Formats: sequence, C-alpha cells, structure tokens
Amino acid sequence: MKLLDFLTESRSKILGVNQRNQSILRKFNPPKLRKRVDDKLCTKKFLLKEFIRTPETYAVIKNENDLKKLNWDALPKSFVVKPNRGTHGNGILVFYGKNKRKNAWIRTTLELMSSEDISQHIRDILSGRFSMGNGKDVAIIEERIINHKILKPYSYRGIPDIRVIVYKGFPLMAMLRLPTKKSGGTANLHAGGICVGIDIASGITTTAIHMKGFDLIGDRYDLLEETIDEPKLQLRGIRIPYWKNVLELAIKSQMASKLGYVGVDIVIDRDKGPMILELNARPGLGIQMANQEGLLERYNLVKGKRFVSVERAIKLAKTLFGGEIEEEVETITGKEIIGLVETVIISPSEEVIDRLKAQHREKNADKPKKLRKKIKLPESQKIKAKIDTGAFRSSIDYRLAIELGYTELKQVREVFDMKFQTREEGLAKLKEYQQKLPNFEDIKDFMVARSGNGITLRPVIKAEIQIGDVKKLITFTVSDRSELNYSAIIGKMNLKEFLIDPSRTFTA
Amino acid sequence: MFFKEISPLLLNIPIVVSIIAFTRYIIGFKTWRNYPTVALALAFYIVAKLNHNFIQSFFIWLILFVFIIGSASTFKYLIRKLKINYYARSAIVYLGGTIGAILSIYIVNLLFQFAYTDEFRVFSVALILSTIDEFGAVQLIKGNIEALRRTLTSFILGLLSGILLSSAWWNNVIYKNQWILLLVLCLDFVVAFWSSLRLTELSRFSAIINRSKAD
Repeated sequence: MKLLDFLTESRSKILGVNQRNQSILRKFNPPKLRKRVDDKLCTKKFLLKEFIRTPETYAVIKNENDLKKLNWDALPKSFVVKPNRGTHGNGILVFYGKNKRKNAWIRTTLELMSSEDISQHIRDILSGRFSMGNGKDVAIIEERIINHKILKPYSYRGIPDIRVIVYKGFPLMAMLRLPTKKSGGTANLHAGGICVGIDIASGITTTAIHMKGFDLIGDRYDLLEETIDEPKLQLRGIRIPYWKNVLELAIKSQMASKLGYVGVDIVIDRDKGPMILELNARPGLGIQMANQEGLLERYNLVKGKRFVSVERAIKLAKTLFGGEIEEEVETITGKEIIGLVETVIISPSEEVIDRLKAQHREKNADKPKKLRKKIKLPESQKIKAKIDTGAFRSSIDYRLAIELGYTELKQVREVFDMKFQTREEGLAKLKEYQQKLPNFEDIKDFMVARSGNGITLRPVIKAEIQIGDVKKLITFTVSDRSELNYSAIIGKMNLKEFLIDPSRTFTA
Repeated sequence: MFFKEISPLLLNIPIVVSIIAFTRYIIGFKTWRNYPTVALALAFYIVAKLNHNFIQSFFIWLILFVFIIGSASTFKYLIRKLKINYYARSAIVYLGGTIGAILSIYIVNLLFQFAYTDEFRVFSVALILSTIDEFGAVQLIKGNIEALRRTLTSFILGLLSGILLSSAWWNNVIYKNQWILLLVLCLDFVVAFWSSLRLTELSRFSAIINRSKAD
C-alpha cells in the first residue's frame, strides 16, 4: 500500500515520459505541427510573421551548388553554422572571429577553420549526419549571439539560453542553461552543461543541477551551488535580464507555433535583447530537476484555464508558480512575504465568544432544557484587507465588527457619525467615552484618530487575525468604512512578522 | 495449436519485441531500437544453435560483440578529425567493424575450436555487424554516456532474448501453447496505454519526491 501511495503521490506531481507523450504531446502537438518546429527555417518564417525576433540568417545552403556559390568574403567575422533539422546542439559550429593572415575563422574552442574545412562540415550537414531521421538536410549560416554582460561570467565559451515550457499560453516552468568547459560550449545538460531553475515570478535563479557520472539506471543529477569552471560563481540568485520580455516572447512563440505544449529556447543578445533560438516540440523533463518541482502539478493547475491575454497569462503564472525565492527569503529572515492586498481571516477573540456564551446561558437559565435554543456563535470572516504601512494601527469596519459578534458597538453607534474640527475637541469627547468603559467588555478603549475622513473618535477592540500562516490577536480601531474599498486595513503595528512585496496582489 | 510445422523462432520474435517495449515503458531501460536488439538476440540464437554449450555460446557471442563494436568505435575515434563525407566515414567505420569481426572469428576459433566455415555461422557475425550504425547514431545524437548506457542495456536485453530464443524448453512451450501470443498481445496493450512514471523515473526524480514529502 505504501508503494501504491508513493506512486500515486509522485504521479500527481511529476511529469514522466509516458504521460508527457500520451496525455500531452499526442493530444496537443500533432505530427504535422511538430514538423514545422523541427524545421528551423520554417520556425523562423512563422515567428517573423508575428514580428518575433530570431537571429538573422546570412545564408541557406540546400545543396552542393549553393555551397559553391557561397560568397565567403561577404560573411561577417562571427557567425554560426547549424543544421536545419539538428538535435541536441549537434553539428553547430560557432565562429567568433577571423584570422585574416591565414584566411580562417576562429571557433570558440580556438581552433582555426578555413572555408574549405567549413565547406566539408556543411557537406556533412547536407548529407544528414546531424539531423533527425538522418535524411538530407539544409545548412544555415546565421548571426552569432553576443553574450549579455549579466550572463557572460557564468558561461564557458558559449551562449547560455533560457528554456521556458509553455502550455496553451501559460508559462509553466523555466530554466537557465549554461555551457561549461566539459560541454564544449553547448548548453546541453547531457553534454555536461548546467541547468538552473528560475522562479517564474521574479526571474531569479533558484536551484542548479548537472549530470552525475555514468549510471546504468538512467540520468542522475547533482545539485550545484557554484559554477563548475573558474571563477566559481554562486548560481542561485542570478536575475535574468528582460524577464518579462522573455516570458512574453515565450508565450507569443508558442501561440505562433500552434502547438499546445512547447519548450521555447531564448537567448539574450547584448545589444538586441531576447530573441528566439528555437522551439522544441518534445521538451525534456530535466527542467523539473533544475527547479526541484513537478511539471504535472503546474500543468494541472492551468489545465482548462482560458487564455485571455499575454499579460494575464504572465500574471497568473507568476501567482501560481512563483514564490520559490520568497520561500528562501522567508527561511532566512523568518518573515512571511505578503502583498499590498491580502486575503485575511478575522475571528472574534475568545473573550467575545465567552461573553456571548455567558449571555446565552443567562438568557436560557430559566427555560426548561427542551425549550433552550442552541447558541449561534459568530463565524470567522474571510476578507481582502489592505496592508497599509502608512497607518500605524489596524482598522475594521463597524458592520464587519458587528458580524463578528462585537455587538456592544451598537451601544456607541453615534461615535461613527461624529467629526471634530480640532483634536482638542475630539480629546474632550474621548474623556467622556472613556468614563463609560467599565460598562463594556469587548470595547477595550476609545481613541481619537486623524484620517482622510478628518478627526474622529473610534472604539478599540481586540480580534484574532490570520494572514498567510501567521495567526495572532491584534487591536483594531473601529470606524465606518462603508464607502472605502476594503473593510479592514492592517497597520504597521501588526506587520512585524511580515515583509511586504508590492508586486504581489494576494496570498492564495 | 494454431499453426503447425512452424518454427518457434518466428513465434518468439513478437515476444522479444514485447519484452523490449515492457522494459522501456514500464521499467524505463532505454535500449537501441528494436531491430538491432533483435539482431543481437538472433546472433546469440545462431551461436547457441550451432554450439550446444550455453557458457561457450555466451563467450563466443560476447567476444564477437565486444570486438565488432569496439573495433568500429576505435575506427570512428581515429578518423573523427578527418574532414570527409558522412557516408564515406560510415564505410570506414564498417570496415573497422569487419576487421574486428575477422579478429574475433580467429580468437573464437583459437579458444573454442568454433570455426566460421559455413555461411549460416557467418550470418551471426553479420547480424552483429549490422548494429554498428545504431551505436554510431546514438553516440552522435545522445552523446557518449547515453550511447554506452544503451549499448549495455541492449547487450543485456539481447542476451536475455537470445537465451529465450534458444531455450528448447521455452520453444516447446510456445509451440504447444500458441495462445500465449494472445497474452502477449494483452501485455502489449497494457504497455501501450501505460502512462505512469517509469520505475527508473522514480529514481531520477527522487529528489523532488523526497522534497515534496518533506514539505
């Protein structure tokens, strides 16, 4: 049974190859559309139609004749040669400079290649050596991406790319792939590259992995804290440049491809910003290890949700899948991160409950047991409250407080209509009401407050509040908030356990 | 018995392919594609059929396998920096594999007095030779580690399937109980619709499973 539970639990979170192929790829990625993205030239074409930027194409060589006609002198110093239908980065040559004396181009490995050497490589591409299905292929000569200054120190002689998995307009998961010395400049995990998970909400890297040595059972990974090559750099906490643009590009590319589930590979050029490198119709599952999260769980969360706009899809993804960085901050600081508007649960204090119970008992003391009515205690209220660091105290609407069982407030109903011209005037009234305090149990005090409504007199009560995982008894001033957007505000006096992130809108 | 006077070898072929499918989709072992794995199994079958000694057959098959694949890989490595056409490169690699095959035939003859005189015997060598392309393709597309892993799993599966093909007891069972093929068909359907995690994936994703448990 334990094994069965284990399998069921794992099944609900992790996307395996079988389920990816059967439930997702077969359903949302028909072979005809898959062929379109396997063909890099075709991908460039349909992306261009949607004004989505890809590296510029210098030449397309379809046969020996095209190769003969190629004007080598017209090529820039740096360029990339790649097969049109290549996989796993095979057959890609990157040149970053030209040795004019030897009339040869310099590879990232510092090897020199003459036009004849490159022609031979192109012939291999044309014969299908590096391509899916081993059929004949086409060679593409295109622009070389120049590393962005933020990502450059982390990659060894190659261009890092960002893989975003997009399902029907919703970005599910992302990772940064870094080339290493071992991977020979490619960012492929199987070739020895490093994969670093990215927090969807913030675009900041989280956990990193690379492949363990040989294991007969299958792929195994080691968690990494630093880059493998010198200089050793911390992999956690890299802020991906243009993060919002990266997510937008990923979504737009998926939509343009018409496939339902796509791995979008994005590179960030130093001068031109993010652009699409390629689309993958069968994205690998190692991204789950890089993020230490299951893809299936995320897929299930957005399955059935209707795509409205790119902005809303990003917002939803950030809300649903973000928070890994927050968890870390919370662990380090011991404080919970909340937004400017939070869902909170407000409950009456135990004192109020006890008073209501006592009143009920008193009322029913004379009645025979059968005629006694069951007590109806006030229920906790789940509301959206404004987190207001500009206010010192928390405040609650009069009607909400009544619903919570603070019925004594009805006896001082008139204070909510009082407005004072000066603070002194208010203080005079305050003295009068403070004298009445011995008559109340729930009203703990009165105070004069200055707010947007002017100078008012407010009763003070104590109620229990739950924000996120934090539950505590706090003091509220009671006022008439019927014309305001939120029936409660939480002031800074009660926010010591929290860090405020203005980009968050609510805690689910 | 549905078919009379039919070789059990034919009845066994779909069973071998079902085993390959089962190990791939339910256990998660990735092998070469069906044909090269079946070819390895058939090569073992021929060696065992002619030799009658299981241990000796295993060693002969092992020597052939290691020498042919090893020699082809060595040739591939040696010519890796030559800038030559792809099919010509393939032809050179095949030549390397053939040299390995000739060497292995001499060694087998020397060790076990098992001479490759008739064409039927040589056919087992040719079957192993025909797997060279697959090894090279996996190496190119998936990298050295994955190629080594798939070669090892194909070797194990080829051996197990070869043992099954050459087992007199099993051949008798399958010949007399041909309905077993219907069971195999059912198994094929189970495997075809299996969408759960593969057993090896439980190990691959163990860190996520453990982490979510801890949460």
